[in-house]
Amino acid sequence: MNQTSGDSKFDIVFMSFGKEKELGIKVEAAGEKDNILKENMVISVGNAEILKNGTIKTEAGQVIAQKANYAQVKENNEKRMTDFAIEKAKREGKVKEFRREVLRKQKEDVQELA
Amino acid sequence: MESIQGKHFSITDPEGVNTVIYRINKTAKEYLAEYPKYTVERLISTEELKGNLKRKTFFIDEPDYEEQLLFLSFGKEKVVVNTGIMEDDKIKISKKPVPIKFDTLYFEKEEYKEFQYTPNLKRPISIIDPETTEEVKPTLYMDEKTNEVKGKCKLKPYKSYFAFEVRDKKD
Repeated sequence: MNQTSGDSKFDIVFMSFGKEKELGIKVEAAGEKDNILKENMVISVGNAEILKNGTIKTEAGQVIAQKANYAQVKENNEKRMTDFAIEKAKREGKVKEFRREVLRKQKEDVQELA
Repeated sequence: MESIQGKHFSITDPEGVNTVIYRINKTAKEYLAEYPKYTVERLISTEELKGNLKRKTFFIDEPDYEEQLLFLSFGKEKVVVNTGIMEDDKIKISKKPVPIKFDTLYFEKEEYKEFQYTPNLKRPISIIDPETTEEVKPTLYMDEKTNEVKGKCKLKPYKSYFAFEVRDKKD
């Protein structure tokens, strides 16, 4: 799939592993026609925060989810190596911590090999 | 209490459909030597039943000014792919159907098969069991013959799996 928004030009390549002598799961590119998300072509987004206990609260304080996986969010957040994450670390004066975290991840990857 | 800021949104899956969503991260230039140009992260979600329909609420932590999202809606025997862009207070789903590159591989043996999904750590491939929509987690190992880091997944025979990879256009 070719995605050409802004400078993010990338391909998404899909593979399907099929049952013997049968096609695997069928992949369809959606769009306006036959779109499974037809009712949601524009989805509203609101500010929220996730708490350590797994609660997700809106800006207005309404609890919209509980038992969400906070640990997973935190882990992904710390491992993200985008320009945006670096900018944020600079703004917060935590560039050293950011680089240390990237190094930690590299070490983790190596340890997984053991 | 410790917390992480982000954004939330909800979708309602049609009956028999289970949608999962990934954010696509572009790696900063300074880390490109060691890491893939693009990585994907599945968004966490919670769900509640509304009659026969599932309303799913997704959370995306500390989003960039613009986030590229990949929607995979798993139904019986097929997966429908949508892409979207999140900006400020909305996500716009791409209205233009796009061609997809697509391959089907077959299993012929009954035993578990080791699938070498990556020649090195720079090819992040996500493999999903379409029945549960859970990711099949790979284990990493060092191939001493080629001196390369590889990943392998144990996949059951006679069962469909779905995999995708985000590549730079030049690859």
